[in-house]
Amino acid sequence: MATHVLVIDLWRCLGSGSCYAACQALGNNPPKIGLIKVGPYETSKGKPMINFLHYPVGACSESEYCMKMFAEKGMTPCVIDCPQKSITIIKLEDLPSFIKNRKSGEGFYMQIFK
Amino acid sequence: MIAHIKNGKIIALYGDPDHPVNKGALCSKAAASVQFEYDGNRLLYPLMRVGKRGEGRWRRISWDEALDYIAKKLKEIKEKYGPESIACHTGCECEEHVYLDRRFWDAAGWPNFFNGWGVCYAPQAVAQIYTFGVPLSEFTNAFDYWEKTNLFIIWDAKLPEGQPSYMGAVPRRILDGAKCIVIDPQLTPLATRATMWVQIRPNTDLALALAMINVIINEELYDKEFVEKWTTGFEKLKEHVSKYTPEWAEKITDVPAETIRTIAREYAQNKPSYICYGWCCHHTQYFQFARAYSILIALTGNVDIRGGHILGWPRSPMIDDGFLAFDPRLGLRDKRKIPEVAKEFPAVYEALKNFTALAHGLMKMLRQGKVKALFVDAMNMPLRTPTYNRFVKDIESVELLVVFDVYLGEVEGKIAKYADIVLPAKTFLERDCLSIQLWHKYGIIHVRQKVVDAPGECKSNFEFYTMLAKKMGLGEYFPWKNEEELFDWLLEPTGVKFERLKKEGYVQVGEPISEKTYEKEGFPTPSKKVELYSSILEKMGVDPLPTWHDELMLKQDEKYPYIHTSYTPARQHSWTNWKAVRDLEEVLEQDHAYIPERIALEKGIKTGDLVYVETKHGVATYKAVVKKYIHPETIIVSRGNPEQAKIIDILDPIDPISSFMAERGIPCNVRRVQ
Repeated sequence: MATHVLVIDLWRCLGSGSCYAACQALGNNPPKIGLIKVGPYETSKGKPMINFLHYPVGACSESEYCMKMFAEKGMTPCVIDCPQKSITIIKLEDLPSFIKNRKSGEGFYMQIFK
Repeated sequence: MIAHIKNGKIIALYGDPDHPVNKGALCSKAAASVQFEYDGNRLLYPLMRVGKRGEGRWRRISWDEALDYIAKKLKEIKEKYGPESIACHTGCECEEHVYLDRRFWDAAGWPNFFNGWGVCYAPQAVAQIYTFGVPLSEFTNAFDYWEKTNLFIIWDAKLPEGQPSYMGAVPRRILDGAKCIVIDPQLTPLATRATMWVQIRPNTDLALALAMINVIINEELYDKEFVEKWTTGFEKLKEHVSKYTPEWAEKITDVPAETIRTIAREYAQNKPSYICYGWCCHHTQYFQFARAYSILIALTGNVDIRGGHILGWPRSPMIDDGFLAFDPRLGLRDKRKIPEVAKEFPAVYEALKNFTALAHGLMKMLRQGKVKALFVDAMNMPLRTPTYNRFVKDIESVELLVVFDVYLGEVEGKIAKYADIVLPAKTFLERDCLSIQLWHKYGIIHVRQKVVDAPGECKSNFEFYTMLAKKMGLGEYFPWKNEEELFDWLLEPTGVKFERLKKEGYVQVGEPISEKTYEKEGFPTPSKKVELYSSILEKMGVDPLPTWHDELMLKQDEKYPYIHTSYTPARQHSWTNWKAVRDLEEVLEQDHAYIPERIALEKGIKTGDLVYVETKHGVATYKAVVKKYIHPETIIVSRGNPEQAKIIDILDPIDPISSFMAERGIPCNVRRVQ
């Protein structure tokens, strides 16, 4: 059971693909149905469909390196590389308040992995 | 970047949070560099072609044999056809590809040297030089001051998505309250966050800019003090643009007249404001469009102020001329000769004194059979200087094609496949590299250190050119024993040693960019002012004020009823670099054509269908993505891939002033693959 979640703020994300590439370069299994597909691109109103995506840390990864780096530095390459700084790692239990407190967090979020 | 190494292999590569420019952010290409490094298809040894060109039959040879062969052939070709028959085309402009390739060509006395600038940014720099006397510094410098910018115009540029390390600041500024207007035929990711998205018909940017000038002058929104004191030709401009009303422009651009007024007012009244024109406005009136937006910048007084546009680049002892390749210390500029092709486009040559900007000229010479030896370094010409369909024919008369590259030819369209000799190159992770970053308010010199050993017999540019120079009797121009000696020589004027750079990673040199530098000695133009009206262009027979030429619009007809344009999917690759990283290509939707809903409905096309996109140059196959928010007559395809290279041609059409390929706005058709 993951204790932390990785949250992608889709209002910031512009789909640079940096997080994806960083993840994949580590030999991980990046969330292919994540922000690349549903994030910043065309929707019925021309705005992101959802405000946040979040992934349990570890669910998108089988890499020891990632988990070790997270344990030591509190971040992973996908967090560091993101040009928009749209990725955050928080405790799982803090997720509901995190979402609620964000300026654009009035909508809903989608959980991709369980 | 920080590389983590285990047992001699890179296990992780990510941004350096302490770097002053990227602050840890990487683009997807950089983040995917591990895959680039360890792709199984690396070129490991020199190869000589034994079959027909493109057939893929090779014989492994030694470096010595390869260099002997190349040196012998080059000497023969020079004797038989003269120095104009030997050409070099390099890619990246900021590393040793420039200063070592360039140095070798100058030392040998061969004039035909070209680099990636020729299919990129040069017309804009040229237009800015005729207006301001020097090029404006790029967003890569200006971004340091964007906290002051009140409004951004992102004009047909996908840079926030493609070059996020710098341009990522724009969406962050939007969140902080800055306004942003995106002018683009399609809804881009940034446009979804912008204050305004202006959907424009491709190839009509000049008309929109002219109408904005009209509004700003007619409504007296211009910076009167700046215009009066620091510009020349205002009255002529005022009279000239009186005919370019928003109503006139609406018919051409499909942008409503009232919207044009709004953009012009917003731009003029939210100073400092910044126009990000990108590098992708390649159409038949590209040069004059660049002149027009330069005039917009001047009229509103957004020139040489923080938050607006900055003149020139940061200065330092080492980067005095802007680019390392032009550093007079390289000592060979006097030997440099002007190639014949440069004379055909004097507006470009006279402004830059740099014929590398004429990739068009190289392709023209190739097609005329005038190039007998061609050296290609880090440049995938079939895709970057298309057309791919006839590249094999274009190089028919080339007697020696040498390609120095990392990969051979597994990626479709890779030039190495057609070479006579292929030489294996080290990647940037396998060699030390001295890199000059002008991309900041300071000049930054930094070192990119070797982190892993190169496989096989791969060599660096330094190693290759030093060896070839000796074989060619040019060793005196490459006297350094090793790369460290070369770097120390290059660094001499800065007082910094390479050893220190290795320890510290980077050093800032020179003075930071300052504001309103023109107040001391004026602008470096003949009038010492911003030349809204260019008497130099007039003497060359070029319109001295940006003028709309309807005859340069490419007409749609029954056979080609739609408009082809392209976008730069720079998330996946920089031009054709990084194309070998197949996973990146696959996931980031490389080979797609965006098709408007109406056309899709008429043609029975659904997202995911294979479609043919056809122009007069050929037919390309794409996977269709049906889009709602896209100009209704426009088919947008990704750029720099083998399919797009089949339907455009670097020689037709072109911008007649700059010679640049006009790939945007080409009439096309689309149909579903049955």
